[in-house]
Amino acid sequence: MEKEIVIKNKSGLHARPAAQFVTFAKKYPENIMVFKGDKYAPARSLLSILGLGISHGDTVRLQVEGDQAAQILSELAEYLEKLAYEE
Amino acid sequence: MRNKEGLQGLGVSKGIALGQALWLYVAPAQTEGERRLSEEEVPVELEKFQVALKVAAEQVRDLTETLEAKFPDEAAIFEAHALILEDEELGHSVQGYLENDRIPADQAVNLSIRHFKQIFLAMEDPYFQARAADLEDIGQRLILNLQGTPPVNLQSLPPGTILVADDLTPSQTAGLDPESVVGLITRQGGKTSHTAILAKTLGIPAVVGCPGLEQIKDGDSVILDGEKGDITLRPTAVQWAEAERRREEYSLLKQSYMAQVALPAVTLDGHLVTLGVNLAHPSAATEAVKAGAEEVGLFRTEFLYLGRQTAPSEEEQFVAYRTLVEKMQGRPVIFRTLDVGGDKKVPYLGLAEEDNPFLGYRALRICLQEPELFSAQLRALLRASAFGPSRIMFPMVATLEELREAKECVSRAQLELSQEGQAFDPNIEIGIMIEIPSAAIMAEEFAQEVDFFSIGTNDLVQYTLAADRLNPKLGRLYQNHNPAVLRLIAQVVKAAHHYGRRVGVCGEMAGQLSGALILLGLGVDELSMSVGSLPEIKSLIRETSSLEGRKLADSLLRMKTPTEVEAAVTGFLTARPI
Repeated sequence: MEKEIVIKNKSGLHARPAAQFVTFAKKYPENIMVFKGDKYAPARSLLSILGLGISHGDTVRLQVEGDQAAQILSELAEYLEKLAYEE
Repeated sequence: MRNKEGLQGLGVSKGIALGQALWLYVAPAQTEGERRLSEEEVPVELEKFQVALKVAAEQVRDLTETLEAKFPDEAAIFEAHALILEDEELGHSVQGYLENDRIPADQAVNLSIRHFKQIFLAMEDPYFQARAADLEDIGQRLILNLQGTPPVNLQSLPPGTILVADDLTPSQTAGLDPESVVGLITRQGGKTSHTAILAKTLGIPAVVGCPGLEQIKDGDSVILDGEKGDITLRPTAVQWAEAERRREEYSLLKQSYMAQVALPAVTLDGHLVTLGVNLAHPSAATEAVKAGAEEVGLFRTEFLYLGRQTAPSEEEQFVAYRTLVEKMQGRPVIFRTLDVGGDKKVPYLGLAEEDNPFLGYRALRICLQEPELFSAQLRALLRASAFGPSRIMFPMVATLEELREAKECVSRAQLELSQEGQAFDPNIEIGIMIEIPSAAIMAEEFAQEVDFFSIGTNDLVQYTLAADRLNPKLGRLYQNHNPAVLRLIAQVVKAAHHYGRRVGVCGEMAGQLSGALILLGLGVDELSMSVGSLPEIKSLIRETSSLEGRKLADSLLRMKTPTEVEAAVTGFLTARPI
């Protein structure tokens, strides 16, 4: 299951917000993948997420499988939304 | 005799520093060697790597804890380091080198870090490029741990040290003691490097990205200006004394700015002015509150609309507006409705390129033609108003009809929301930007139909003098203090006050000493500016009498040329007792 999200953090998903997102995503046992264009990275790896170079205004796709997928996707989206204004 | 020896870099942490240069040579840990591991050694090296990771994690945790007490925001830098240390991608990469290439762990770490650094350095965004320095920091820490070398101790340097280095890692910077290290110069680094951010937080004046450092020798006397990025080498006695005076002045100024953060912007004769900030993103609110802002005099909502393929939803906007309102903790927020035009790329609005975008289809003119777009924003703004004092302001209003139509849209949104049982402030204030001369001329009429005015001087000047403010050739025409502009502002203030309305100014003029002085004299009630200008303008107001200001403004209104105005204002400011 997938969900598209526009990243609204002023300076993109760089060190601090990316670290917060990874810490948050790590709480789920499910394998969460982040896609940007044709590149992708596991949400639990900060190095890989930073490696995607997600800037302000980029659209990313989150992908999760399993029974909880819908719930997890909406929680992740909500967290990213909140994060955008906490910088 | 004047000493001409000097260097120029990027000033990233304000302040004047005088001291003796001390080079910090930290040769990057060497990881060369021909040695290849035998099969039995692989698990041993892997174990060593795991231990080094653990030790590094503890070191980073200690550093985070030390910083946390004083600088919680900066501590987050090292939280990211901790996450990278436990990142399985790093572990896998090192393990791969050990098992497949049979090279020792320190070399494996070096190659892995280099690989990840390359990815960051290839990115266009400077924020990501700067993260390569963090990786280098982590790599050096791991390698030193593997080699059993203790990290460089920067805690016990002689007082009055100006540290000179090719580059400092965030870890090294965070370990500096501001009591002994009075300044910092590095060859590398940029404004967004963590080293720059940490130096600023520690209050150590710093110049980064500075070429020619080889001219500095250990023990040299050095003066550095952390704002301008100037470095003076081996200064003359006169230069030294002058720098001491500036350092003293700067520290006095800083103290007085700090002391007045919580004080009101009140003139010597008791006239109160509201000082606000112009913001473009909710994340800047915390800093604004810390700096003593009493309101957000202009919140630009464009960040939600630009750089995307579809319009933002009402819900998305609501979350952003509500976050801002809550962060301002009861201080009012003036939201300017969408202000874009043909000079910006907004694909989903289908705007045509125009020959004169600033005189074209933009701002409120678009919103009135796009009812769904406008309604989503108004509903989001109204819903946010339930969480703290909010005001709505329309940009680019030229006629009363436009204002009435826009107010009609607000009433419709309010009606819908109450039918849906959604909370909002039913008495929310509605105002307009005065930036088109027609609105300034008709201010009497507008004042009867709005709650407040905010004069957008940037556009008002540009439209009054028909001079594009972005065209450098027109700099002489584009003048805030042109008497024609001043007379328009005076007329707007008079009309507003006649009907008991408040007038603010949110253009650049409000954040400049001369501009703020004139506006104070003209009777403007609120000045809104960038956060950085706030302390200077507050102290100007606290040291000026509004009566004197008014007298000055009266005389300016009778002047014929901007040159006369400028001379009179400069004269007033220099005669001001400090």
